Amino acid sequence: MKFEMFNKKKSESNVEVVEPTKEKNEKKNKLLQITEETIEKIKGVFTYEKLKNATPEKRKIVFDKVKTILIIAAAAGVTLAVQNFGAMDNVTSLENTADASPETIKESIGVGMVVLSGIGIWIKNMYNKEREQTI
Amino acid sequence: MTTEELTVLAEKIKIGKATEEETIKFHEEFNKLIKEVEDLLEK
Repeated sequence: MKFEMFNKKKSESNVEVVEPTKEKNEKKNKLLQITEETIEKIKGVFTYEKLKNATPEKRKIVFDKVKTILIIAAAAGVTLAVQNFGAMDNVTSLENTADASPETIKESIGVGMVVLSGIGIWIKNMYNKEREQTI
Repeated sequence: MTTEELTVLAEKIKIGKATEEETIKFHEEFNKLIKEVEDLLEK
């Protein structure tokens, strides 16, 4: 309510309405929290037990999606994603995972987890950097 | 947004050329992608 009044006042006096920094930061913090929570959830469900019982088709879809996430994260400069790109390529080569050994699946999940952690760290750092710049 | 569009935006963010709106949009779309994996694994 206070914010609405603030906007109205500014508009009436023909001054450009700028979204207050506090509100911008709140929006960013919310996004950061959602991202962190989602990554934590994925880390929780992206397990050997889950994938062991999944159909080869489902494994392929999951690995493909994780690879897409990795490509985007690598483009954004997530070091761990870049470093693990080769390894993730192997993960995606598990397209025919029907005959993949448990060791191979475990190894793939390990790489995926490292990458997801890296993405989480990157997002946190990026938000912190932006916050410092705003302040 | 397509993967290609997201990748281009990610590169803009990396070199500091993305606007705040673009950065927020990127995170929203990126979150959607992550959520898809989450949903897949939970099914």
